[in-house]
Amino acid sequence: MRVKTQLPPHISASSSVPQIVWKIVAALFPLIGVSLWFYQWDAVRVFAFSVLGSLTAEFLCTFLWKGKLTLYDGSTILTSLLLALMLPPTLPAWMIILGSFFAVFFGKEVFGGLGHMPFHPAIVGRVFLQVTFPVSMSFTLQPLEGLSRPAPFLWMKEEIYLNMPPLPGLLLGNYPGTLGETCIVAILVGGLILFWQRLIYWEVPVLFVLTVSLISWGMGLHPWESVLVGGIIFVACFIITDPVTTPLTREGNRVFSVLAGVLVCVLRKWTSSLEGIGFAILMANALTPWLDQWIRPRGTRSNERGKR
Amino acid sequence: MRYGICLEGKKEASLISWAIGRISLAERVRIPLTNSLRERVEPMIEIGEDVGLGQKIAVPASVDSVSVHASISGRITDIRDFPYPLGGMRTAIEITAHEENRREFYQPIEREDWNNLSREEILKICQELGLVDLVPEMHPLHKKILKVGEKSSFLIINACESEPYITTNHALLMSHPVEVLKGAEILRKTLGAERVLLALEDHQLEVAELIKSKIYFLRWKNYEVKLFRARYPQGNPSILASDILKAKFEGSGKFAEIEAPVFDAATLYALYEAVVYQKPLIERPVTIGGGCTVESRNVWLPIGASFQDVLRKCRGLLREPGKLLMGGPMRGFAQQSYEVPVLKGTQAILALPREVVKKGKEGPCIRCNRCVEACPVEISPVLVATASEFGDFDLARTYGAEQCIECGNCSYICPAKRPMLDWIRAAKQDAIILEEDFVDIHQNQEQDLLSGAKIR
Repeated sequence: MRVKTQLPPHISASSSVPQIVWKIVAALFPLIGVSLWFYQWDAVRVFAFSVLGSLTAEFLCTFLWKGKLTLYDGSTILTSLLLALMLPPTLPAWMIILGSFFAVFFGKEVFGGLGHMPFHPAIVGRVFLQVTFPVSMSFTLQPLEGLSRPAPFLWMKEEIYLNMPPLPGLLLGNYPGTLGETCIVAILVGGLILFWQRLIYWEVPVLFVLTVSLISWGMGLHPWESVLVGGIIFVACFIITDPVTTPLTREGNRVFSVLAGVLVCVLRKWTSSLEGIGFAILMANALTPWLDQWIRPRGTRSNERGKR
Repeated sequence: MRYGICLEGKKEASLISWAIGRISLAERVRIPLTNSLRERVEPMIEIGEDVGLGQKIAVPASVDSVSVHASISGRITDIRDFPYPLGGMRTAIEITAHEENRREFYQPIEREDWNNLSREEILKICQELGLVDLVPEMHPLHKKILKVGEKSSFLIINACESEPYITTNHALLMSHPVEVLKGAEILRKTLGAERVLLALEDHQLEVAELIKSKIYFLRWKNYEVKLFRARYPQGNPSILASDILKAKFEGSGKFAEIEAPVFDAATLYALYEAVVYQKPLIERPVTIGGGCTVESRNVWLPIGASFQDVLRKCRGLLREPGKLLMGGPMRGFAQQSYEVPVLKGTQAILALPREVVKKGKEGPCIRCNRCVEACPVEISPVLVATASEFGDFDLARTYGAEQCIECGNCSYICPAKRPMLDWIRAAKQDAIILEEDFVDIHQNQEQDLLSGAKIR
């Protein structure tokens, strides 16, 4: 239908969607810097192939559906960077390209691009890689040394920790893991940038981490070591704060993050997957429309019960 | 109001001087006979007749309408349909200035014992002297007074100008504080209200201080000044009234018209002049500005003067504006021609530069929730607009489309530049059948826009 631009309001705020997305990309810079320092050329390789795969998907979709190229809004780059940060540095190039292609093509473009995807595309790519190449995904390098070692891992089913480093190392991320999920300090800096730019609600990461921590504690695990490994903090700051795949309202987002936290613990404990976090986020994403329907502002003039 | 948005005020340019200037009178005015589709008036003059300043030129033919007066002295040159700033064409009387009977200023005649007029006399004066509420809705004042309930304890003087650029009430209160207060007192007696409250925004501290000192010297105990946070749309009468009554917002009308009637400061000034000096409503303060004008200032403008004349008298435009508006940038009406007249509800004539009115490229919604946080009536604009976009007006109304007060916050704030308000309005107009005047206004404007003309 026609856009009636002559109707009021005649002015509009200066913020735009590309601006928001590129700000989120900028918030990833501390993390990207740390991963480059940790893994040097391996990190460069992962980032490059991830971006390559996502751009291939984007161009292919533009070609297939004769749409307009929407690279300027930055969402494809953001997806590929988020995915790369969740991959181990040892992953073969073709797997990276495949995963990032899958993320953008089946996570984003088939649903209609930015703003229409029900599931977080980076998580879609990560889950795809984890399911398809479980062995390659679980081996990684010791940062700054280049020795191939398995990542520290929380075997929740047996309530034991494998290869767990001491606490300062856990915060700095100086232990084998994926590119960006280990350095808690850099993740928190990125999260603070997002909060400072008012792109996220502070409750979302906080409630998510608290939920995971408390439930793990209830299951007899260490309250903070259980959230410091396995990418919980990274997901809390960068994945479940994504506006598109999470509920609209602030209240809905609070419920969403608690729900996602519960799902993470449930999947970690009672399924055979190594880290249930990817599936947990996808399941929470699937609940988003229900949350929107259930928790929505009712207006000041309404007699309906619910949020005022 | 819990939410709302912060807008850049841009009021400095027109507040360099508080004085409301007068520009030399217009050569030609076109005075629209009616301001809403329900009004009926009978012209009482013929083409070619000479009229004096303030002479009655049309009498009301229904209880809903008010008289019309000549705003300049001159000769009637035409009575026909002319472009109307709120869209479409309206019958207007054209008066061209004439050398023989030129009179520059209205000669005030003080009314005897104006202090002791009864309610009926005030209502008659309002209708005879053409008083309307000086906001774009332009409800006739006598009708608005009649609507006010018996147990209204408040009278609210609205001087919150939450839209950018507009400073008429600010300048009026700075230059004529006592007149506005006396107008409020006349209205207070008529309504039988106990307390009068002047609503200001927190950047109008100088006005607050001035009015407080005047109230102190007048020794009026039941007057008070209240400052509100400067957030748009604080100046909306319904929101203002529900904020003051500390009640839940009840939609357009209930509070603002019945329990705590809200009147614009300019209306009270006009009422004062009408009651005390028998002056008909032939002029009103208007802010000229918007960034493209050479002079940004507040001026008294005769009703019916064309925008072109007015801008020319203010030394013209610096460059071609992107949009010419009647009213503020959030709720104002875009004009297709410079020939439209000043109305009784014209608060501002704004010539906005291209880069200010430039709209970004529309994109898909990224569900950022900013419109929900900006909505003053706390509905979910994104859900309403999306439902409306897919043609499901019933669903849109379930989501609260009818509660919308059309403030435009959602369209303003949207980072994807989606025309949220247009969609919400579509859902609303399917529901409301020409009940209120402002619906006429928007519909007229919309119909007119279908022709798609741009400002030349």
